Amino acid sequence: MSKHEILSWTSIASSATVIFFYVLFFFGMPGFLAEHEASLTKIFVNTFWIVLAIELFIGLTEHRSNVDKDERDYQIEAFGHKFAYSFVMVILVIMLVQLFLAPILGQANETYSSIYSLSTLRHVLFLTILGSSLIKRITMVYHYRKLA
Amino acid sequence: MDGQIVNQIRKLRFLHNEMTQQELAEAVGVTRQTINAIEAAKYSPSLELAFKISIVFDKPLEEVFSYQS
Repeated sequence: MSKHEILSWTSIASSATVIFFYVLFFFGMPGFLAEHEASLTKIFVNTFWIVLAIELFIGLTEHRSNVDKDERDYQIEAFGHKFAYSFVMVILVIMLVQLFLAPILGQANETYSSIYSLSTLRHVLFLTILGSSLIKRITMVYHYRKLA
Repeated sequence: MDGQIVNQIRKLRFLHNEMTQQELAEAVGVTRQTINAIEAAKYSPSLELAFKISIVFDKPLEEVFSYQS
């Protein structure tokens, strides 16, 4: 497993951890998972420390080998960027359509217009950025496995 | 027309004092994983990398890589 593949795995874990704590902090644990909150939190905290340790180790040993990144890594990264870009574009288009529709539909339904408030948009944008990072790394891991 | 790029890298490594994948990777400036992927025909190298590999083995490009349709 190459260094960049390991970094892709750790990035998936760190993005998932951040998403978990973000959702937990702002929205709370969904009802069906409430009884597992303590164990889930423990898992994600441990994941965070393990990821940090691996990334620090890789960072410290980065310049020991002659070649860190080659044409195959760049190609795989390009695949990841392509999928992440598509994901961001789809979310942005959906948000724009909803924003244009909100004033029209909001006249008939008060709840509908309040859903698209500034704080909701903030959450959506933040989760979109994290989601795109996750999609990029998952795509990269898939291609690393495929081209291994 | 679907074809595949096949290569003789494994054989040529063996003929060059049993050169390891790591040694070849260092000679052409890529990672060992990339040489492994090329050998297994899972990754097609760029033209530049293909030339570099053929230079290491002192062979013309078509003796290292060929296209099978």
